[in-house]
Amino acid sequence: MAQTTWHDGAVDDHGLVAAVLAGEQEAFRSLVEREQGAVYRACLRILGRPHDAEDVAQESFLMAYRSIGTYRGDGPLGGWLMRIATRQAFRRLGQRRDVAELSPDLPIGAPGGDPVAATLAGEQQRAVRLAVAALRDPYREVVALRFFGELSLDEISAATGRPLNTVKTHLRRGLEKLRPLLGTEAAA
Amino acid sequence: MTRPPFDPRDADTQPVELDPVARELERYADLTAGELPDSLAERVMASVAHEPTPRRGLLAALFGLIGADRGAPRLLLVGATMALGVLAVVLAGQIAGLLPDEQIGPSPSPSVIELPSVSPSPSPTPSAEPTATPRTTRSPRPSASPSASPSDDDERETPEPDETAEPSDDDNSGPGGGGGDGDDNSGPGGGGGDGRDGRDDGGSGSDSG
Repeated sequence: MAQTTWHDGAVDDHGLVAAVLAGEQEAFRSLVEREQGAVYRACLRILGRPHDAEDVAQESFLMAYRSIGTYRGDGPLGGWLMRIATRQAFRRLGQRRDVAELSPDLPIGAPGGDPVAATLAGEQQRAVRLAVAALRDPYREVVALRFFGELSLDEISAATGRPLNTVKTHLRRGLEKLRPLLGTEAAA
Repeated sequence: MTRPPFDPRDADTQPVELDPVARELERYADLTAGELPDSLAERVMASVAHEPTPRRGLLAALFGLIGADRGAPRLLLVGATMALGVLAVVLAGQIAGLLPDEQIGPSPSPSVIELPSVSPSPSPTPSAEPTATPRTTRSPRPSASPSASPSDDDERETPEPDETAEPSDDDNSGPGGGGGDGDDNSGPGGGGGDGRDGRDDGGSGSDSG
């Protein structure tokens, strides 16, 4: 199959997976190029550090390559991949907490040149990250896939194999648990 | 892939109080949409190039995850564990097969201890004739003083199984033995699930860590 076919997006997820299983690594490259932005952003939102996010995104793609034979095609391949990536990112975050964090995270979207504003923004972002990471599964997974992984609820439902209403319930409960952690109770 | 904005209906009859939480998360996500590193795809493909072609199926993928990257030691560990398990099962089977039938089931030996005073035989030699009295469970060795003395207890606690086997047909006196009937009915009945069965798991814990 010609290489341009993969990059044209003319092949669906099943065809892509079949090609990868047939040994065509270029098919996997097209998947990487298609999904790398979303995967990297999700990892960055969970981890807060670009270098870590890049590492975990790479690990996630590698893990997806090794286990692509288990993809059953229930939902989009991007959702399946995003689930792997968010799990890996939370796992890395847990390992990182075991090591003492010596320096606070810098804000990812640098707010101008004001160091005070930058520090405050960094602290606020860190608070959001830690609050989401402190949730228990399945609430954490649903919140992360929805807000960090840019998946719709239908895609989350397909990726996790849970009914849509269950996903909605998990999202609501996750947000309820986040409310005191994020300090948004007064605003409500 | 672009993230659809949060809709209150997403969160299943979401109360209004949760709206600020969702907005905060969306704001955070917008701020942290960092620049994608150029080399990511190349790095991924470089690492994939050393990988064997993935295979279809859960078991194949499992072996791929075990074997690749972590090397042979983990694979050896899994193999050794499985071999140990098989060996344990085989050994248990052989031990059960080696036990003679007499040793499986009720043992008559405890009755010997319980009945020394029932009929102390006046003759110093053991009588081979079966009697209706429970003397069949008596000590096989002749005792000079059959009356129970503390010093003789040790000798009477070691009966020969072949001597007690023959009269025990009509004897029925052994209160001992009595292995368990094995009817324990102790099944715990399965623990709670992990809430991933697709249903709404009712009790969401209150502690979120």
